[in-house]
Amino acid sequence: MHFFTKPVKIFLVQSVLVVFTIAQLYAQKATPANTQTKGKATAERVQASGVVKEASTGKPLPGINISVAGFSAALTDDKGQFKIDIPNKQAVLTISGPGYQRKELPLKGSTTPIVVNLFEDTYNSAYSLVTLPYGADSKNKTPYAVSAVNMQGTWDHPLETPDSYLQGRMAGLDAVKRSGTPDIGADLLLRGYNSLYANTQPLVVVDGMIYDTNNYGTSLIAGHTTNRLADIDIKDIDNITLIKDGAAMYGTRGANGVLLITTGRAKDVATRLDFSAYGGYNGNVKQLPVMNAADYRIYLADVLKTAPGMTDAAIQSQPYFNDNPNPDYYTYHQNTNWQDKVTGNGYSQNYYLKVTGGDDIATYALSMGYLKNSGLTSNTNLTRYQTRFNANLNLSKKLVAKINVAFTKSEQNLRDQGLAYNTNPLYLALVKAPFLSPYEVSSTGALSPNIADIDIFGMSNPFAAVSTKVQDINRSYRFSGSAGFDYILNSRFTLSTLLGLTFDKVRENIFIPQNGIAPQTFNNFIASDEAGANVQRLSSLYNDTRLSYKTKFNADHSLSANLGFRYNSNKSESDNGIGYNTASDNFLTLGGTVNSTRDIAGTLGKWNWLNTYFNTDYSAFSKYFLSFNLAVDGSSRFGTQIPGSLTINGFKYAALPSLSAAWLISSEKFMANYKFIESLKLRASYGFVGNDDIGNYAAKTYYVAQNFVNREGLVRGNIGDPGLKWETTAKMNLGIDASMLSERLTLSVDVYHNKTSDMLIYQPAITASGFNYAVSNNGTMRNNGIELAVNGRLINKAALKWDMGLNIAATRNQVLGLPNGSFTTTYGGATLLTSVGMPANMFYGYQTNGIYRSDAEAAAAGLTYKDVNGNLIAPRGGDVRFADVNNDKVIDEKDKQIIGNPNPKYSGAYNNTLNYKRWTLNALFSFSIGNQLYNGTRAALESMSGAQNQTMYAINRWRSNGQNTDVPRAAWGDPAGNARFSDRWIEDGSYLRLKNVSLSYNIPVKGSVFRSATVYATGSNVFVITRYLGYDPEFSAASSPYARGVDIGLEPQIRSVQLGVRIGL
Amino acid sequence: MNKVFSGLIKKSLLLMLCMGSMVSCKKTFDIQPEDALQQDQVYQSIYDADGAILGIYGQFVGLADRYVLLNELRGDLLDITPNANVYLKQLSTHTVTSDNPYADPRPFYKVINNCNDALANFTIMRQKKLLDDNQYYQRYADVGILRSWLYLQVGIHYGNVPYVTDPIANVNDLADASKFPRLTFDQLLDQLITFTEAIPKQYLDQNTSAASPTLIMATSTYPIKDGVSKFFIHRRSFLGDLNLWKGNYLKAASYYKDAMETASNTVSSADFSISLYDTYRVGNDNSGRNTLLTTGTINPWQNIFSNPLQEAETNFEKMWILPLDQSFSVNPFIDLFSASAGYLVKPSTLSISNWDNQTRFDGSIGDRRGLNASYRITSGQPEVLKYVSNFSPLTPLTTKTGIWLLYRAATLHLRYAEAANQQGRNQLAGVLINDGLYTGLPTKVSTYNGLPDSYPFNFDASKGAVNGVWYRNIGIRGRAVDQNVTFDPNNLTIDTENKIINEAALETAYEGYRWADLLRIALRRQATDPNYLSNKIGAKFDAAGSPDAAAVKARLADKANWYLPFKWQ
Repeated sequence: MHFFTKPVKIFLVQSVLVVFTIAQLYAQKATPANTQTKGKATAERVQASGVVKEASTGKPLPGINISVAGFSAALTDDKGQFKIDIPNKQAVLTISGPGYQRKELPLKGSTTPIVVNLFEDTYNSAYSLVTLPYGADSKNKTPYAVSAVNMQGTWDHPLETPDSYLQGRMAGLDAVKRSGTPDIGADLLLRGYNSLYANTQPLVVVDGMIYDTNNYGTSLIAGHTTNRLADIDIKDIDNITLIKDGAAMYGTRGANGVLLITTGRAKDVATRLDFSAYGGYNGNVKQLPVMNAADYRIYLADVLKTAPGMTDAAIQSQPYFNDNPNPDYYTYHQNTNWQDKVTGNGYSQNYYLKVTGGDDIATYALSMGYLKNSGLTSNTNLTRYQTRFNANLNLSKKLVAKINVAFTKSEQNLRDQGLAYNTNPLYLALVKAPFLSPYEVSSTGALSPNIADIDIFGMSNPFAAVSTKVQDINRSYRFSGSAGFDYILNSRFTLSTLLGLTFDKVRENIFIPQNGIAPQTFNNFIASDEAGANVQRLSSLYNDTRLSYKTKFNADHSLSANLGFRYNSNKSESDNGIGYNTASDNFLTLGGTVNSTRDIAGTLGKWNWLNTYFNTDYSAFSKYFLSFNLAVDGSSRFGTQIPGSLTINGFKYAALPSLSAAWLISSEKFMANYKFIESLKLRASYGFVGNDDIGNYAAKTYYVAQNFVNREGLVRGNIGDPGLKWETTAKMNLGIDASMLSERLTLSVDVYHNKTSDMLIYQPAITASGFNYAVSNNGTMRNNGIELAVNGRLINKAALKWDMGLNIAATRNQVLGLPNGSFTTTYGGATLLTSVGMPANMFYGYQTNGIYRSDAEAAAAGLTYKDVNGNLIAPRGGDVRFADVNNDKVIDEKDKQIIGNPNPKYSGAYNNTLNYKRWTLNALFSFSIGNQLYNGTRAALESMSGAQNQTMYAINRWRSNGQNTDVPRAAWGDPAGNARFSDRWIEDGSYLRLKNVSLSYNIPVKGSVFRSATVYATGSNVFVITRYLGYDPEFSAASSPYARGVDIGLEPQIRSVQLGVRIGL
Repeated sequence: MNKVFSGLIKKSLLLMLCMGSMVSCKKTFDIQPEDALQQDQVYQSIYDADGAILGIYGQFVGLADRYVLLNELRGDLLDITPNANVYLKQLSTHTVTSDNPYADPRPFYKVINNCNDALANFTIMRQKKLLDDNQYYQRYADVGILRSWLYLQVGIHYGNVPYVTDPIANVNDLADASKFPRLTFDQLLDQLITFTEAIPKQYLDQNTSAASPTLIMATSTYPIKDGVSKFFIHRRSFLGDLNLWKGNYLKAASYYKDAMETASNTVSSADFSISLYDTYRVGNDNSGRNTLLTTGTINPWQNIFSNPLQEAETNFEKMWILPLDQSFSVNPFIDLFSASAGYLVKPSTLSISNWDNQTRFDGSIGDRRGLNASYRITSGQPEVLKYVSNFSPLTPLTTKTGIWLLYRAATLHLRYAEAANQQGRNQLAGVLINDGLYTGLPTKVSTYNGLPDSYPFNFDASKGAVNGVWYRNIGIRGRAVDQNVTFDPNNLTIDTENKIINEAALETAYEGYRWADLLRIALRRQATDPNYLSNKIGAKFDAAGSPDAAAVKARLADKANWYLPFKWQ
């Protein structure tokens, strides 16, 4: 009890009591007024009447519920007609019925017979429900900037994960698929990057519990990321709501937005069983145009001529240039398409069963799923088992319990990707000499079944890198479970608590065999093979307890409030070991490696977070909405001497408020004449949200181990910052939600200005401190942007419906403040500049202008190039002409410029749904416009600096003075740095992708044993229109701004089709 | 709302707050890291204090290549190869730019900050009675003197430097300019002398396993005796160096003399083998085994640089030595020096000709400390042998273990000679670098103005019923079987000093003293011979026929270019 010191105790208790007292006062005031209204109503019997029809057919709808919240209710009759008592002529009718949309109808003073047209329940309407932390509400009434997707099962996307599914479905959420690996998911960027070094991903909350999507520890498998969101089967999801503005509900964890996922529960007590089965075919990728054996041999001879010490005679004596009969002739006279050898078509299957039902006391939803999917790279695949159990228990009239339990296990066979040049089969297949064979070749040209070992250039055999001898297994397990209780104290107060647990484990086992894989050289040994094991664990305890208050002062004013706390205690652990040189390629365990080669590493993390929150929503006349949120967060990560922050018992707290307001203009009387406007709402919000991802211990000064011969000592590990605090993002949002032409056209526009201050950066420390940098809160950055979502029903006939939607977002990032003005970072061969006054992650390299066509031309330019060792090199004919920006005649660091921006100018999606009788066709196009990419793969394939195979581009290389070409010369080791990071490798990354097309047919099942039956045909990633020369313009190697747009050679997305059937019983 | 309800609500509110408070007690927000140690978890016991010292030496070893490059490549004995990058070339031609990674002072300050941290905390531990006086002073003296050694290096290379003595506790200290006072080299020397003088005299003896059993202990790789104990900085010799730089020659000579007399004042112990007549005396032990006297066909002098750390006879020579054990760290010297590896630097033409120009006792030409001792020719290329003698290109992965020899008896004798010479003991200085006290002193006892000399210039090399402790001293050239050098009687002090410096080039080439030696003389002779440094360094380029010679000489004619740029941030 000693945490709440007296002043706080007083503050908190008082604030609660104040709310409580005001409520009471209002209640007392309101009560007589209320009675009066009721009395009046009885006396005057104000009534409204009308008819409810189906929008597409005009058919009257019986049995539709009409109500005035807290006042009266009625049902439509056979002719769709209704009559209802209303408190006054400004009342709002709520209309709902099974199978139809929910609708709100402000009377605006008119009681003339009303015609209500209802769309089907899947219709994207202004009155759809959005799920917010304190309960679901109509989108029409929400003062926050939110996007919601009502998933309705999404049975037509069996291979999508929730994050990749969201691509193109929420304006302002830029979901970038990480790669084409099954289940790899997407990095989610809401309205740009809000942080440079802290987490950039939205907070995910599943059924009220924080769902940790971070990885604790790095994968041993190059280029791989374990995607935690893949553990949720999207068929289990009912609703995803994204809070985009600064609503301070989750305090210091909400800076990147909050993604609220609601999983499916039983809708009623009837037992329903849904079963689905899918089978699919995965296509191969369009190959990159690398040279064939004939072209490669000429290139190789050319490049070898420039190698130091190589004479023509020496080149001719190489075995691969010996065309006379000799024992190695066939070894070096093959023509292999290596890309064919490492990739292949594949198959997928998915089975899913969901049972819902129950009785008055308890309802349940149980789902089970199995997924198997093969990857593009040969011998890679994914197997996932998943189960989820949700139950609602009405324990008493006042006590309701909710249980959520989910367990997922997935096992993935992978291969190295990205920057693993000895073991990444996709990279090796591009650069491997095409005159070699994947198998050993005899002197007579017969192929042996044995896989060929490393070649004469020391390069691995790509075929060996995909062989089943290689082991790259990732197994991930996640259990998450929660139990929630709502206790209704009285009509106004409810006490709720939710207690949840998460256990997550990732196990990885790797084995890289000796055969066919190039050895690695270490300081004191050579590693011929490698075995490794890795375990990452996360366990976390979560509790959310709150007191909710809800009241109505009279028919026109309502108030609700919540006061509570969320507590999250986390523990992470990562342990890995790598060893080398087992006795044989069949001995795969870490224990079989040589003792002295073993390298063991690990980390332990522990952090706690306590978020005390207060929320109040007030609405007047169903037209004016006001919401206030306040979060007071404490965290073990915060420093203990943060100036100017709330201090309780010596600990520092973040106090983050937000205020949101909305005005439903369309409910105003003066709007009654603008019949074409169904609903029009103005929103404004301003709030502060934070980011607590500042490192578990960075605020503390700590010591780390330092080895001295065979004893361990201690040295200072950092310069602690006792003032280290959360990053704060102030978010201002203005928005319009409109619905027109009887809801046939809806649109939302949002403009925002987000400013992150106290942003975490690595601040260079002065030399005499001995440290390179100190972590500090010294950066400032902003994002301005606009986003638009339009949906329209173009055709609305009984048999044919056509919906079209477009969403587009533009965000502009700018760094406002850094202590030293700018700094550069490198990732995957790219250099990025972060500088005040421009976006945070600009490609920063050399500008080129063709090549020198002759030695004379190069000499005439009078430039010298500084190489990596600082030596000055005079360029020759065939070398790239780099721009001498500062005119000092030396091409060096100082000549680097901004050469590209990896952030898109616009991103979004275009969606079409066509319904014809029982057929539904849906097509979703996603696009990204105006972003630049660094094509690291091409930089390797067109560097012409060694024995690596190159693209066809290299055929036009410069070979002699005066030759008219823009392709540089082949030069061993690239002495002039022609392949350095320059605009040669920066490409336009704009694309338009038909991400998904699905066709479904609802089989008539009347009279059969089935409740329903649907067949699906789905195509994913059907085509991409782009000018990008790599495999695929969409990839994300990491969620950091410094990885954006850097193509390190991950598996590209592939085209796939699935056929499936869903049966309901 | 009736009273029962409001009461209920109050109770539930209270309950909620209680629940909140239960989880929010101190443990919630004050979490101690488990894979690092928080400040208040360190310096709790003597083992933590030892850990700090081990950590400091662990980091200190990482300075080995930087130390050698800064001191030798800027001097006249080491040159770059065509493999060297532009930054090494900058060091050699004295054109260092501030982005030169070899010239970044930060790595020195990294160790200094850890020393500061340890010193401050040792004092707190002593106040808290966690360390007794002996435990405290042994550790304080060691780290304090090591820090002073680091500052001396920083001063030598950068001239005007910040003298930081407080630990950087947190980021707020970075903004506190008073923690980073900038001193001239001379002011720095004063500060270092003041600081080291405050250490009680009895703690200037080397630490021993008896005095610090938890710190100096045998390990699986090295025994205590002459192994572990010599990892730690040699205290008195450093204090001699400090005073020699400052011009306190008598004091310097005293410290050096005390170090030279180690064997007179110490007995053989668990820590190191003392031999009364041999330890640190540059002698010939007459045992016929492993003597360093270069007679016979094999040249045992080279063993100083290749014998195992704990080998006894070469330990009569070695005083401060750190292992570069390939099992625990990288030996940077292999890549720098080996012609079979990176081969970035090589012996300068001048250094090779220095040896070639010497005459041996027997009249033959060529100093035996040169070819196949200090350097050798591998595949036609000269390489520094002192650092790569145990390295085999045939088994490159298993022969990388080497040593970083920071101080040895010959260095001590050369420095003593330099100090004694300045105190008018020209003859004594000359004898020490020539063929030794026994042969060189006519009366076998050191004399001054015809009388037996007093401390610190008293030496007894007499041989008889009771031998003087210095009777085996054979001098630096004597040990190298070189003929004596002669001194110009008209310019005795200067000429003797020149001969001492020349001898240092022959004896201690490439060991990391050269630039400092030349700079010290240059500073001393600033008024009389302002071009001393420029001529000395210029000779390297002249000997190599380098076109840079004139430019280098011109640059070093200006004292401002004697120091490297100090990168403040």
